[in-house]
Amino acid sequence: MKPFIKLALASIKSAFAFSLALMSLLATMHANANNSAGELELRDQGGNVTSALLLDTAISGEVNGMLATIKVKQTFRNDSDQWLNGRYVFPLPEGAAVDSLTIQIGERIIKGEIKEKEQAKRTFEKAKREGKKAGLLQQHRPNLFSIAVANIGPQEQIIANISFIDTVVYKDDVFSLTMPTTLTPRYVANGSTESIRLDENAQRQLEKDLNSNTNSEQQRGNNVEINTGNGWANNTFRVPDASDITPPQAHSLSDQTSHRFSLLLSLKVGLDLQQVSSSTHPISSNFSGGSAQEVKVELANGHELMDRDLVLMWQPILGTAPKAAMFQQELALSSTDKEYFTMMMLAPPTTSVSLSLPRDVTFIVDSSGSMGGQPMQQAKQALHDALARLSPSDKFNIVDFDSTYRTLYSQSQAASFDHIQSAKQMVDNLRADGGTEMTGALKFALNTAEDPNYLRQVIFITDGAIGNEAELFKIIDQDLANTRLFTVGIGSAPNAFFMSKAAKFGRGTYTYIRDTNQVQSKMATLFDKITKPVLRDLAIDWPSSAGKIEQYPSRLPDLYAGEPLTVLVRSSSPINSAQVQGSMLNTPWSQSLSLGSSSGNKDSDNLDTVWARKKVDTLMDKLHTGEEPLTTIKPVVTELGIKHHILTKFTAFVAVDKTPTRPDTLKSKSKNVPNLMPKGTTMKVPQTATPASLLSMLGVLLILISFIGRKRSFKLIGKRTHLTTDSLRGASDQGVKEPPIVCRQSLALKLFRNQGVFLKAWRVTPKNNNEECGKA
Amino acid sequence: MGVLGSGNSITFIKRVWVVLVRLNVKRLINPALFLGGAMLLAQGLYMDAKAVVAQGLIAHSWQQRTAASPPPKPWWWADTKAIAKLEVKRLDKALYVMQDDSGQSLAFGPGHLNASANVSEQGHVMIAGHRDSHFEFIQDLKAGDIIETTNHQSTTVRYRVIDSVILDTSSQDLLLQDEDLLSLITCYPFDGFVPGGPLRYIVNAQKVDL
Repeated sequence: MKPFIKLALASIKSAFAFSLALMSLLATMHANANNSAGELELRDQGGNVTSALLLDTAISGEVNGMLATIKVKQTFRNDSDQWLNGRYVFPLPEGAAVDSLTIQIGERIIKGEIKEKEQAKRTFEKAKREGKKAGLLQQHRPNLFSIAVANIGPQEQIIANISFIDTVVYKDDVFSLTMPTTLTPRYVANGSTESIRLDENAQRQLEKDLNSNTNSEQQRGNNVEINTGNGWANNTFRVPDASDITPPQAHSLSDQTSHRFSLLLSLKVGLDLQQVSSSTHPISSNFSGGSAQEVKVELANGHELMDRDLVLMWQPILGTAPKAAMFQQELALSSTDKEYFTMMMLAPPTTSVSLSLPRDVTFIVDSSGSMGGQPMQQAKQALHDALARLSPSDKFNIVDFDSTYRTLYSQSQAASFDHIQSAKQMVDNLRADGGTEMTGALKFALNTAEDPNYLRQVIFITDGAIGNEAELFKIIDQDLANTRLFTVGIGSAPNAFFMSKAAKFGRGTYTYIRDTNQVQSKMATLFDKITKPVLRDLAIDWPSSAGKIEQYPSRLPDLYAGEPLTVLVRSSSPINSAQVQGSMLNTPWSQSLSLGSSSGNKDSDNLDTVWARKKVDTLMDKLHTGEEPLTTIKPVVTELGIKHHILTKFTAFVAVDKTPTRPDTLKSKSKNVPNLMPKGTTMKVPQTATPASLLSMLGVLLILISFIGRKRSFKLIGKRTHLTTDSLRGASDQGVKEPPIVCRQSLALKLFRNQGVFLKAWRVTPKNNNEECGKA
Repeated sequence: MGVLGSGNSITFIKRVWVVLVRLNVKRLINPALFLGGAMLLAQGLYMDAKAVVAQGLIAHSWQQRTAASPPPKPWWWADTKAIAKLEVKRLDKALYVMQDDSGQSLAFGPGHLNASANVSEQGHVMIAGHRDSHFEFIQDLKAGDIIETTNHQSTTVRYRVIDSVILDTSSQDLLLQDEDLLSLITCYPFDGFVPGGPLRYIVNAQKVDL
């Protein structure tokens, strides 16, 4: 009896072991299948965006010469029967100087005040608790902002009016204004997973911190702050404000009236315009009063979905494209004291000369998940186009990155037919998935050994959907040496701040390719820029009569063909003229400008705001490169923001209603206002097969095998019945004649006899064979 | 999926085998095989049974919905619920669509892709189901077939099948269109055994005005 129980127990055990082994195999298969489907899931909690606040955006404004004054009117409608607090993360142009916020409730208008950021947050939180209507406008990136509105009653609406000033982009004789409407979900680099969700205790602690006047930042030292926003990502060391910049995003909304914008823009350029057009939206332009100098622009369809950037372009009549311009503003500080702000624009001379030096071009291409869909197609086309533009004397390499990076060659190779062919193959095989870890790819491309006989250029094709901009700027700044970095933005809503700033640190240019139709023309323009000589060593001689001068950018960049320079200057006396010097191909070049003769304006507005914004930009650059620490930059920027009434990283606008409207007894719920996914991005495909039939099949197979095997062993056992009983009785091996052979005949053995390992194991124990066979 | 055929698993099986032999358990191989097989078979059958039984329970819960509130949980420990009904009269099919496309939900019924438009509302609606249970029938859908979706507020939208395509997710992307479409998604090929392949069979249907 005993051996039988033993055997039964052991058989159950081994059966378990075997099936567990099989199951774990299947489980890993299953897990792999689930993971392969996608990386980020972009849903808000509960997967529902219908109950959120609804949004309506109206963009209006004026373009005067080189300056655009834009008003963004956001209407938040609460269609529910609860009190709601809304938070909406939205993009603005990366150069925008946001200078006002007003909150409108019914007929009442509350003007927002600029305050130090932490102080503004405290004011807002207090009003929120007290049931007062309030608004808080913050800057998270120069192109990414958030507005929080508190205590919107059931069926009520709150209007937030935000205004900003931006300089118009003037490139290749075309003026343009880009108005982003949504963002590509940012990849959050995770250096260390020191992220903590804001639980209730932490929330209380945070509120305590905010209410007491202790400096919470000092207390926390260099640690990552617990999540303050409510985005889908947690704060990390590399993206310490990830929760602020990752709003929920939806492919579509159930309420078709939400997330649409309208446009009303009047262009007063002071030039005769040839045409006004948009590469992104159908527009209607109305040349008022027969004059080609003032144009009203609207959306042809009235409203458009906020799922892609709006790009407006206007072009002066052929031959009248300005080469230089100067604008000035006089600002009275007191009855006697005056300040003067001057903006100067200067286009580099056109040349037909091409550079003789061959080039060593490294292409970096982003194949991360956010590039899925149309962006990846654009990137592939752009690469194909660029490869075709290389001349055989050039060298090239391709670096492709997502969570890691891969290179075509370990170092740049000649652009021979064969090399180009294999490059094309690599490009065709690119597939958009995984994270967006740019650092490795950038470091590789920038640190390749330099050959003085080649011009080192890096062309970086990406949507810039990352949150660790500062880290990357630092890498570019440190590793650049003689290489030049050119960024190519891809997709419906690229991160223009990253793209243009990376190009600035990389001393190159930024090109935006909106769709596949534009690839060829845009790449042609880019290659024109990188094959033509640059205007370098620029310096401006301001007249001595100007008095005290403060100029931004303080270090002037090199100018590529078609890329004018814009400089802002504050002086204590008026400036009437200036002399610009530089050199091109080692030949000195100079040009003088004066207020009267060149196109421009003596009494412009808002130049002080733009100047302050440029100064903030320069200061923040110093912070990015590590040239100056946060402790010295922060107070200066804060003071600038408050003095010039502009939003910065360290200042915020807060508007609070005087009287509470939410009854004490009712609580308000917090809602995120989602952003739309950029047009043309892909969906995650779910796993739609179960291993049910596979499992059943395997099960049946195993049972069958066991039955066949059993039959065989029955036979064997039957043959040797006497022997078994003998050995059990303790009979010695006299009666045993052939058992080893019989044992070897078992089916399981046959199945595995080709496995050398098994035979080896078998041969180790021949001595016990007889006994073993007998025991069963 | 290539795990079974890869070198790693062979060495793994070898190692398990050697251990079994060393433990002197070769006599136990048959019972082990039998038990293991029975367990696998049971699991496979359980998965299939779950898919069938759940739809029945969900059908019951669906009756309890009102215009104001979606149906209650079909059984008390359920971690998912139905949000819509999908019907193909020609094939005599009526299925309840689960709230999302997670593995748990798909075990009980086809699931709604939350990033797509809401069922029975404007826009491109996407619903995914298992090829070996709920969505096995979509291979029989032909152009011109009528598919109806009904949400919990009893709004019924009718779609007419326009085409079916096979999408290779390893090189192509699933894109949301700007039109009023319904896409039914399942794995391909239908008689495949190993889950996790890159191919998807997609039936596209266009909204028909009632």
